[in-house]
Amino acid sequence: MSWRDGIALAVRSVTRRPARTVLTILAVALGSGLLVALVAIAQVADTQVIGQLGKGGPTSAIAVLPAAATSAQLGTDSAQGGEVNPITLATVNAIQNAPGVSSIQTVLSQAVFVVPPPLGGSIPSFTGDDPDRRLPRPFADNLVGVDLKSSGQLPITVLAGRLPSAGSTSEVVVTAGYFDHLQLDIKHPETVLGVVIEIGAPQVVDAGGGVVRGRWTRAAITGVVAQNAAGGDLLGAQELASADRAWQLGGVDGNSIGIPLPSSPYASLIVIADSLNDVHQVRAEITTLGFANSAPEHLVASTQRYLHVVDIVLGAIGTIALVIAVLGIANALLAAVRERRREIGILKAIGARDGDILRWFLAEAFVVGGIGGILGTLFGLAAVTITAQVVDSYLVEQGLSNVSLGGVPLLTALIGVVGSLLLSLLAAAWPALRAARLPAREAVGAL
Amino acid sequence: MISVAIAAACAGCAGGPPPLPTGPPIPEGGQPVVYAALGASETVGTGLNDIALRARFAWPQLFFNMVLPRAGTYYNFAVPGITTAAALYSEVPQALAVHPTVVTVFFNIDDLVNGVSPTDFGTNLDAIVHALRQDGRARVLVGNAPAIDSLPAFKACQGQATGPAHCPLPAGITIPPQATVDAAVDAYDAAITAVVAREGATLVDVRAHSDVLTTNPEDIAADGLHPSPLGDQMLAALFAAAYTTARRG
Amino acid sequence: MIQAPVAPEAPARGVAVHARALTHSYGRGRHGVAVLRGVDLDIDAGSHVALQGPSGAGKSTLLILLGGLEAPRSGQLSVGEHDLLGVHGRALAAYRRAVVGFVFQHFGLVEVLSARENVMLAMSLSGVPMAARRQRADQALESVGLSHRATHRPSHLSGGERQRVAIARAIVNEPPLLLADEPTGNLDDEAAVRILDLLDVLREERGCTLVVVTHSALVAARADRRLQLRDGVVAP
Repeated sequence: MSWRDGIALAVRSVTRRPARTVLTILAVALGSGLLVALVAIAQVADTQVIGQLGKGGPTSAIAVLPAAATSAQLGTDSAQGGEVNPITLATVNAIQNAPGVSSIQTVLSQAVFVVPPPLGGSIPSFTGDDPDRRLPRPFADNLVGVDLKSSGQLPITVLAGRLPSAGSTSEVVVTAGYFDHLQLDIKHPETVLGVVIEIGAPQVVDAGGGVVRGRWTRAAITGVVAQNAAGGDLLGAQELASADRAWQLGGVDGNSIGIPLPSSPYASLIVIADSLNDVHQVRAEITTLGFANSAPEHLVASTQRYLHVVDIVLGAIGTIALVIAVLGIANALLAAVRERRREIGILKAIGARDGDILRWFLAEAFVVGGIGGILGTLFGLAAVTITAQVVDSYLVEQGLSNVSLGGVPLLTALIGVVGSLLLSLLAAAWPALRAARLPAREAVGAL
Repeated sequence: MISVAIAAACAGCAGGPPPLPTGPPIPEGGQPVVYAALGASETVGTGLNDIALRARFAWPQLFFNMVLPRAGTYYNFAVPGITTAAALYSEVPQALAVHPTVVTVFFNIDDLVNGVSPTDFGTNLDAIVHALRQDGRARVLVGNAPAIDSLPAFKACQGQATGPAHCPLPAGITIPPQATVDAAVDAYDAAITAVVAREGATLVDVRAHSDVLTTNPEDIAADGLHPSPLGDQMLAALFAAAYTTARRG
Repeated sequence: MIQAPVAPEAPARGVAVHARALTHSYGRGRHGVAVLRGVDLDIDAGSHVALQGPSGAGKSTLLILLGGLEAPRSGQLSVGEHDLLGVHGRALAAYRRAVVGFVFQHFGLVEVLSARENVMLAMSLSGVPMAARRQRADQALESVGLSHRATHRPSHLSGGERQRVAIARAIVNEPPLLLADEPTGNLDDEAAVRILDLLDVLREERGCTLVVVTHSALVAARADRRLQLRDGVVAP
């Protein structure tokens, strides 16, 4: 009997006891589904947790701040800074030349005045004596300017919509702080997408006389982000922030009226190390240069250790569930062998070899394990997807990044199906051997 | 002058219900424009005694948002109380530095109050408009002077105060008779019309709407002199209409 | 009556069976039970022999040994050219496929397969190519008069029809030795007569040797020769 004949016979045989077959398949499906779900969730959680430590950017990113590093800097992940230490182009060049540095992103932060809509002709007609006409109040904030072409290397996470086009001076994204300013609900980020706001950069002409001029531009809000590049509820192209910065620098210091000139050419630097292993060395170099800096290096290391333990535990739970399930296959096959002693004898009487009987029962395990494995994997992926969606909405609610399943669960799914098959065959080996070794005279019962 | 004080204490600014649904009429696309507003207190938004109000309601701000493309940039170089003679040497060079493609020019009352003759006013204004035209590279809109005899502040100077408005003139200076003022305003507007014609600028006929701008209490700020938010909206609408008409023309 | 195709003359394709001092027992030592105690037997090729005797006389065990389900403990047993003493495992399975066709009292059909698939199963065990199986199975079913029931499962067939499917399965590989135990034991008289007629026709047509274990005098009467087993030996 060929494998093909064996599988064909097995497919028929599993229909003899439909209830038992269905229950066995369900057990395997539950086991493999649990394994796939747990492993996938563990993997996604690993990626997401470590990713979260990078605040949306690479985990090997180091934030450099315009403050003098203290002696305690290297012992902690957070920035330990003292007095102002301006970050200049020379600073950028010095860090760029340090070993282990992959790239550097410069970040600007520009004081601006934000006018939310309605603007111009959209302002409703005057009613009553409220000069504000109950419109959302313009507010002071900071515009963070970054190189959007390298946004993947920055601690920015898109919560809704998209980032501005690289180089665009008429698009920005906003953070949860923007919603706070306008008393909007962050749970509905779509309410701000596409909205055009007006952004004014100040130029102090006469601090004593309080004479300040504005440079006004307008930008459409293309997305909502969580960002850790620098302080500010607006984030846009560096070109926009640079032009505003140049305008402000054309005036005088307005510290006395709350509009000081920027103390540092750059608000921060995001330094990307070659790898997580290089982060400490690069931080040491930056600290030696005299700049406070932060990177989640200690947190990443300890988190990875904890996650590894969680992976092992979750994987073990799933594996135990699957093993229990395939033991169900073994049990069902043993029962089938008991029930089919006469049939096995008859098959041998008409010429079946031990190997033919072995193939027959292994094929049954293959069919049951395969169907159970596929169903379980689909169930597991569905569970992961649903879990991801629930977690996703929670994370967005919390102003964190959303969950990306990536390609990892698909590999896990493959492993789930193949693992179910292999374990089923393994579990079937003993019952199948018992069946194969039954003497042909078992057919005597029928003689 | 727009006072953009970046007040850290703006936390208290937010308030009221969520914003109304909006469909900003800001034109999409088009060539990026650089808009410079030159003028005196009206252009600053002096009637709006709150930074946030000026940021939304100063008439150049409204004008910018009504008709200029989204990619445009807007600078306000206006200074309260400035005359054309002073503006020629402060506002104009600053405006030229940003290479404006659209300019609004709105000077009148302060020259009038400071006794500048219509001839000198015309000469200064011509120099201003000529410089800003940049050999035709910029479209320049010049607003003429409204009839001011109905303004509450003017009436206060005549001792006919009807509300909280006070006479803005320093003590010791008396306001000329109404007929003299009207004649001066006429002469200024004639000079403005002549400059506009000579320099290829666009006239924004504010005067034609004096009856609303200077008599309707809702269009006038509490000081009795400057436009209220509604007055600013009307001024902006006038400049916007003139701009649109001139572009079509 | 079954209208089976009748060959003009029976081809001599059956095998002769020879047994001398054939013994067999189950279990060993003190717990062993001797079932055959020295059977001497000669069956001519192509003959029809009925094995009779009381229960426990060793009829089924003799059939087991003839069918190659087990190897005899001692003595001699040859079926055709096959000497079955000391033959085990794959060699014994090969003997069964090549030489023996079994007909069981309880039919021994696989319940989840159709009549045709039951017949094809025997061929799949013999390695008959897939393409040939269906045609040969249909021919076998036709020869037992069941072409019209080829797609029916055993549970949808009468007892007589099931036995005819079992006979079709037994003959599809054209074995020279056909072994049947109480082939009519579960059938009513009418069905029993039709099965016996069929076996007669098939044996004559194919020339195979037919050994039938039976308690029935009616069945035994059809045989060329009747052998009585008593206490593990062939009675004289």
